Amino acid sequence: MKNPDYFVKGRPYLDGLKYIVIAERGTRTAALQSGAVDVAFPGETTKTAAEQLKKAVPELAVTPYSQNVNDNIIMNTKKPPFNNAKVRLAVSRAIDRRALVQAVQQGGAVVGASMAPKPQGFWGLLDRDLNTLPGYGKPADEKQRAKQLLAEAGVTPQNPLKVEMVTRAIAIYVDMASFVINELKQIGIEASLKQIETAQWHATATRGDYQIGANLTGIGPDDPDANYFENYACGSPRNYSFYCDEQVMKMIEQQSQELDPKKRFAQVAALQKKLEDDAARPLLDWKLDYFVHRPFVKNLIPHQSIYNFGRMQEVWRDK
Amino acid sequence: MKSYLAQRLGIAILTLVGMSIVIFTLLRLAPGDIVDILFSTAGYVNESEKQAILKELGMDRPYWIQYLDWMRQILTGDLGKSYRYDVPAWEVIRPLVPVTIELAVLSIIVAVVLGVPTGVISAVRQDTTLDYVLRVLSLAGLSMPSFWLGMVIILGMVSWLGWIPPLTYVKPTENFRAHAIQFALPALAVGYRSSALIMRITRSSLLEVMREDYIRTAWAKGQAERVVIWHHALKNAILPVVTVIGIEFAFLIGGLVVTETVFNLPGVARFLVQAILWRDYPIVQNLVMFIAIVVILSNLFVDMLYGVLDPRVRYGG
Repeated sequence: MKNPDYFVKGRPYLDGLKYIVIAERGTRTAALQSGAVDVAFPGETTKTAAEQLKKAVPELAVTPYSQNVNDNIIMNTKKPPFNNAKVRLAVSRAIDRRALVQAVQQGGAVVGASMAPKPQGFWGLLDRDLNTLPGYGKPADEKQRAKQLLAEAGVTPQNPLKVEMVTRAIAIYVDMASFVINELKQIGIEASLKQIETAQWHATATRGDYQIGANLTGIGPDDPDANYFENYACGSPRNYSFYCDEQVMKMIEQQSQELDPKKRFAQVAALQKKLEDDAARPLLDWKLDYFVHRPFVKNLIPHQSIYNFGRMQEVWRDK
Repeated sequence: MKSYLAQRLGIAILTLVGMSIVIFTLLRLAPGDIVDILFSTAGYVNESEKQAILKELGMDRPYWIQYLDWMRQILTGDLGKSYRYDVPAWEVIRPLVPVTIELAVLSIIVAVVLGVPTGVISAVRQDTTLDYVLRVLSLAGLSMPSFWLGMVIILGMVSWLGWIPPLTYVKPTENFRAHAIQFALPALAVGYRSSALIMRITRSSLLEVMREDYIRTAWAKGQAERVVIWHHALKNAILPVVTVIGIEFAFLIGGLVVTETVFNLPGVARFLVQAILWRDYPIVQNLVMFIAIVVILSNLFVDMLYGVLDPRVRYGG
């Protein structure tokens, strides 16, 4: 309900907000189409769903935007087999990022390393740099290289690698995980999928009760400090892979202390390359959301960070 | 009849006690508890604080004391406190129960209203086109998961009518029409599947009875088809049908997780899954006990119905 003591005089405009939790994806889409709800929740409308909705209800407003959320692979570097950098790198090389964007995200994502790519983000690597990283070359060549790495690590057709892949039991996670499992199969890694409910998911990842996982990471502002200290720094509880490298720590701190923007940009680019070369937490893509709302909902502007979405101060209904 | 009833009641109570032990034990065998989940999610574990919370929740006591405490709570009508919501468990459970009971009852009504008459028609018109059509429809009902049918209904509604049933629970006292619509569609989806099973059992049971000598005698006496079918044959064929209806009802009480999710209904089954994942013992234990009680009561009701329908059971023959 509206807060009568809100700190900005005359705001908010809305008398109240009602969040309806709809777990089933099909029902959610139907609710938007029928007008049972006015606004979608960010991150839950795929490109295909948005296109279908727009076709069925042309007056719906659809805004594609980046929400600073990426798909990535977490591998537990404390446990075999992913304590072996060659196995991690093989996994990274096996996954065809561009095919993932087309097949799973239906074009509703862009490839990029650990910072959001341009034009959605400021720090992302340019295509020419990205194409030199593991997993971004020709898919057949990358898979061949992945097989060689596995062979060097002792994984052969006679001695195949069987792993359990965990993911959160939410459709957008499971879709991505299923694709990755198929990619791994092509280089001789047999992965079975284990879905983990939300209540257990972060606990599982934080404790390291897994071998390999298909994960989504949302980052606050588009700033290297917000990302690297949280997700890659030694000892951070959100560093689910437990990847810890002295050189990387120095690079993270160095870019954080750098005052010259150009120098910092170059340092962040080097950091991105280093992390992908080490397969610390291979990045697969950066998701785009297709934010859908009824045309009478005004001033609800999707924010670049998923965590800053709920600012409702200026929102009003033209109805 | 009284001794029959007393015997069934005795078995029901013993079953409930056995169920309570199984529920309690299985829940403790599952790895992790709510304290583990809370602390691990935070990514930081302070052992002394963990022990303090375990003590506060009474989870540091021996299992047998925790079990006896739960039994005492049930007998005194106090179901304990939800670990996750920090309110009495009954306050959490109370709004869920009517939703599931209503959906299950409506679904069974749909199933019986559709299943029994079509089963009779199919048996009486055996090997005719109508029989084949009804059998295909029933096979379709058995083959389609009710949640899938529910989703198709929702998508059909939104495509053709631009409308879907309410997405938040509407109490009958608030808006009876909206409430009825909200439950009618899932009841149809679930009831259709159950009706298929009831139809097939009714048909096969009736066909068997129709070949009995006493039915031939009824025909020979020149009795009308309506009397022979509905009075003589169906009455004797109905026992297996009643059994299936009882089993289906019991299943519906705890087995509607996905249907409740698709129609966004706040029922027992959907909530139970969440409570299990959070290891919210007071909620899980009491909800599963509730389901067990409904299953046992529905079986008891079916047993009593046997006595009403079949004199041999009634008189201990």
